[in-house]
Amino acid sequence: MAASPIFYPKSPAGMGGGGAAPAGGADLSALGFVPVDLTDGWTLYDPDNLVDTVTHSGGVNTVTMNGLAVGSNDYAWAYSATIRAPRWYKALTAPNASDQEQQIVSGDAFTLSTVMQFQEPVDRFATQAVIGSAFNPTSTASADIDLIGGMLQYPTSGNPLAGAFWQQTPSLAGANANLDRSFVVHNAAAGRMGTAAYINVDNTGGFLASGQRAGNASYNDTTTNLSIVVGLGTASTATITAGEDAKIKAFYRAVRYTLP
Amino acid sequence: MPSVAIDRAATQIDVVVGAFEDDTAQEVQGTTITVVVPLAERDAWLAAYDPESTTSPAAATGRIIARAVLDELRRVTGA
Repeated sequence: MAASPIFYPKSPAGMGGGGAAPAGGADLSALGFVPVDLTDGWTLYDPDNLVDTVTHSGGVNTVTMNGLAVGSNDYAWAYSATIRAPRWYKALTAPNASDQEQQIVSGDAFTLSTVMQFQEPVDRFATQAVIGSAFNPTSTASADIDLIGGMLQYPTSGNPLAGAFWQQTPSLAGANANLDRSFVVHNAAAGRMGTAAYINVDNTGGFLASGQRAGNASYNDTTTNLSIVVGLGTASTATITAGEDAKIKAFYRAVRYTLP
Repeated sequence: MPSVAIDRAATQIDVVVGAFEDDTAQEVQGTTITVVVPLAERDAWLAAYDPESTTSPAAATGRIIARAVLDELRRVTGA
């Protein structure tokens, strides 16, 4: 079975929020995802100029890198309190019944679902890529970025691994040659980051692994506009030769709730 | 003697996580086993351990945690 078709629902009628009449209607029994096109509406924050070019075709973002001669955990997303890896960001929103995007803030009750799909690069470097919600996308402190979501990682040669991520700590299933997609959901409410849980599947949609990473902290406040972030970095202290690339195929869906 | 419990539903056999020791983070692939210290026995556990003493905790006390963890490792690996 091929990957589920991706569609963008016109509106989330029936999600709640005062009983708004259906207006064209998201089908909550088959809710789709927003595909990530980094060339359309995303802002790049790249403090050390690691990204050379970005192109997008067929749902795949190809990022060609500048050289990184001296590797550091600071260019990875995991394992360092300092994160100087490049990331793209934009407002984390959910459409209302009139298809108007509504900003999600740090005190809202919401879920963010993400999917990352492994794509073989042309010329690999050891890569960590993430997608998730973030409190401050242009910070270099992991506890201020507060990114929670999914992570995909692979070495220069060998099999990829994927799973859940919070701040600087991943929990990834072991490397698997059959890994195709990693589906991650995290919740938040009352200014608290919940747990990010993952299910990895192969290219038939068959189960490979599952697990979770607890987002064991609260946001700094409950009024900050959150962002959706796609981050690209090295796996641990890997280096990058100029011209090496990564391919990012990712999707997300945010839903905000009115708690009963 | 205080006791601990293992949250078997939380055990993950093959997982890659960030391990933190002395504020140094590193990637470790392994099995995660969740040890639950009962609230009612927390003070007993703390009293049983003196970090300044190289012989603390007593072997019999430490063995309680060790056996719980190793029993779970045996269970999930079929050893």
